[in-house]
Amino acid sequence: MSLAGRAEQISLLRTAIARIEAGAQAGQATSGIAVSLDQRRSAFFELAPAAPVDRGAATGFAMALAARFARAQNGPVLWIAEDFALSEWGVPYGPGLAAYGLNWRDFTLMRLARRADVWLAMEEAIRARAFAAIVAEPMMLAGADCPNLMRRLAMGARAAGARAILLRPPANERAPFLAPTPMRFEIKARPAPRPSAGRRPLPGRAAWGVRCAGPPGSLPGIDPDAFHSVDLAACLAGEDVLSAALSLRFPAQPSASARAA
Amino acid sequence: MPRYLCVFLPSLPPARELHEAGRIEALADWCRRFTPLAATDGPDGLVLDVAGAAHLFGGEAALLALIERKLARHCARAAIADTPEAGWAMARFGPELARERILASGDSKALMRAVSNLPVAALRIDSAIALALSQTGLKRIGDIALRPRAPIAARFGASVFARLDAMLGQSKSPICPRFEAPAYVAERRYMDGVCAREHIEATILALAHDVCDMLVKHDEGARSIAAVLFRVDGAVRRIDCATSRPQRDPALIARLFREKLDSIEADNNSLDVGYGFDLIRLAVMHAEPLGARQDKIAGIEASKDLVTQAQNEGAGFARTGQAQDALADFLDRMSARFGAQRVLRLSPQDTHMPERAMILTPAARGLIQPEPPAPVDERPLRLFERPERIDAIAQAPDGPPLKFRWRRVIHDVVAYEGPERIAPEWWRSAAPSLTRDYFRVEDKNGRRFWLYREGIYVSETQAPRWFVQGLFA
Repeated sequence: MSLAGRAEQISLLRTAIARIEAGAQAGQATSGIAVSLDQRRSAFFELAPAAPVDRGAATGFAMALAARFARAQNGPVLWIAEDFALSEWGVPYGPGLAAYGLNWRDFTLMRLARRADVWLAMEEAIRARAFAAIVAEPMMLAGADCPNLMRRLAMGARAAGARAILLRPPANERAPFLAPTPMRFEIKARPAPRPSAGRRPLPGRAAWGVRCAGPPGSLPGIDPDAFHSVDLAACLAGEDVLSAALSLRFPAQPSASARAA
Repeated sequence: MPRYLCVFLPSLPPARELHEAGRIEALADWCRRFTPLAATDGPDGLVLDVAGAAHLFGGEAALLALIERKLARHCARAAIADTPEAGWAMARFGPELARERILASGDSKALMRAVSNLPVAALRIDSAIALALSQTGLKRIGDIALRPRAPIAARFGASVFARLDAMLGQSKSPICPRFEAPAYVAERRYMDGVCAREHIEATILALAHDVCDMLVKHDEGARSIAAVLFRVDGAVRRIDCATSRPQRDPALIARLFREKLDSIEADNNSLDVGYGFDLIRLAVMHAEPLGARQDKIAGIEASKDLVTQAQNEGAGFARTGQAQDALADFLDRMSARFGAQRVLRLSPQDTHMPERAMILTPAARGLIQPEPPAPVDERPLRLFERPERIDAIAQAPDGPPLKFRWRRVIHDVVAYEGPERIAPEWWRSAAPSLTRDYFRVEDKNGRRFWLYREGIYVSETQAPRWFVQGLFA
């Protein structure tokens, strides 16, 4: 190889390294997988409550997503949770699933003692191709739950055509978002229009403020700092509401061309 | 006709002085290598139902000699009879010669002859009664058997003749095996112990083929399977697996046990092969009829009519057999790996108490539950396993909450719905419990909670307490 050729190669490598470093600084996944991920085919979602007390809201959003996939794929939902998370935040309650259009018969819960078991069960569930949606809920994320693990799960989900949702604790500088996908959302509770009983207002139905926490520019037209309004009633009534709210199309929805076909 | 082999272990130390492997239960488990129906009989005895099993070991005399030899360190004495009581008596009070302790099958006269010379204590009656009988001159069982029953029963109690009848086979006295009898069994014996994990797995796979052949003949599938590993030094390891539907695929059964072995290794609770296993047994503990199922006809999937019909039957999602198989296989494997109590499905209960209205049951049980009645009001998405106490402020002691503090955060209530009064189920518990008034509340940030006030003011309590029991989205 000529000196010029070698210099050119080194220059290319330096450029690539700089790009990777810039990506890492921006908090995005650094692998080629992440770069090539087509958001329209994303199969891995990472949801984090904006604050610990928003865990109920984040759970509801995860359940709404799962119910959406379950309806689209005509399959059951698996919820894999760490024991500690269920003790701390409660167990998914059967009668409460009805509001999300989920039948309690189509809901399976795995409560596991260790976080490593949660990842193992999630990977097995993805491979099994038996569930329309798989939700994993660890109590916390630690150093071992590295982006590589998330990448592995995301790749597995994409290969198997499964929909995996990670319901994680609030993200912060020490525990940033990990998923190698633009589908990273921060969820907080949002007051919904309240029906009234006489002069007294009643609690509204489920509604969320959703912030897209994907890498900058990963979702064109979405303000990454703003919380977008999404409510359950609209979400259950029409399948395009979430997409309209977030200006993106979820994988469960067929494309316009597919519909026409 | 059952045949009982009773073993008397006179030199077995008390349980508290023994390590696990030396206890009477461990010895009963070891005896399961001869027959699956093995039970303990008091602190110093074992009883085995060896009907149909003795010939595998060269006959009753050879089996008796083998067991006595293997348990010689406990000075074991064994006997074989048609009833457990006769076996018990012969093992403890019978002749020295082992072959004389084997009573002929179905010969009641021979049985009577053999036991009539035994002391009354051989009836296994209370020692005070035995002493009283002896003092009146009734020292042998034969002395009692030939006399009128009424006077003896009136003086010494009915238990004397109840025992005698049981000994002579005139009344039933079943044994209580440590483990239920399996429906199908296959086993492999090795001259040298098997130690390697892959050899154990290969053996289980081979046994699964044998067991599945039996299941196919009877058109059944296994729901509960146990692998019993007998170590050469007498220790026994039992591994149980359950399936969510009748199963007779050898590869799948072997895979369940592979998962189980993985989990045993992962928990640092190694299999402890010691010097190896000389007997590996695979037993189908529970089998169910396996109905014929046809998912595809000449490559055509089940028609949409069938799918629609399944949907109409209320099964939630209608799925093809292939999808159901994948789901059932996954649930079985995870149940084997993490334990059945870790893989759960919702199960509605006939109660209006929220914490009991929908419980979690092992998915491997595969029970179909009826549709529960729909609750009147909206229910939370998450329910705390134990309601958490909160500090709440209300305008009146029996009014709705205005503000509450939960986990050190104060929430201002801006909207509420309630109360929904749920009375305690007084018929379930003896301890009195209080009525609950439930409120669905929303704070100013849109967070929604399910609170309740415990106790009706004045009529039930002077200081009602508040709890948060669930979270809405």
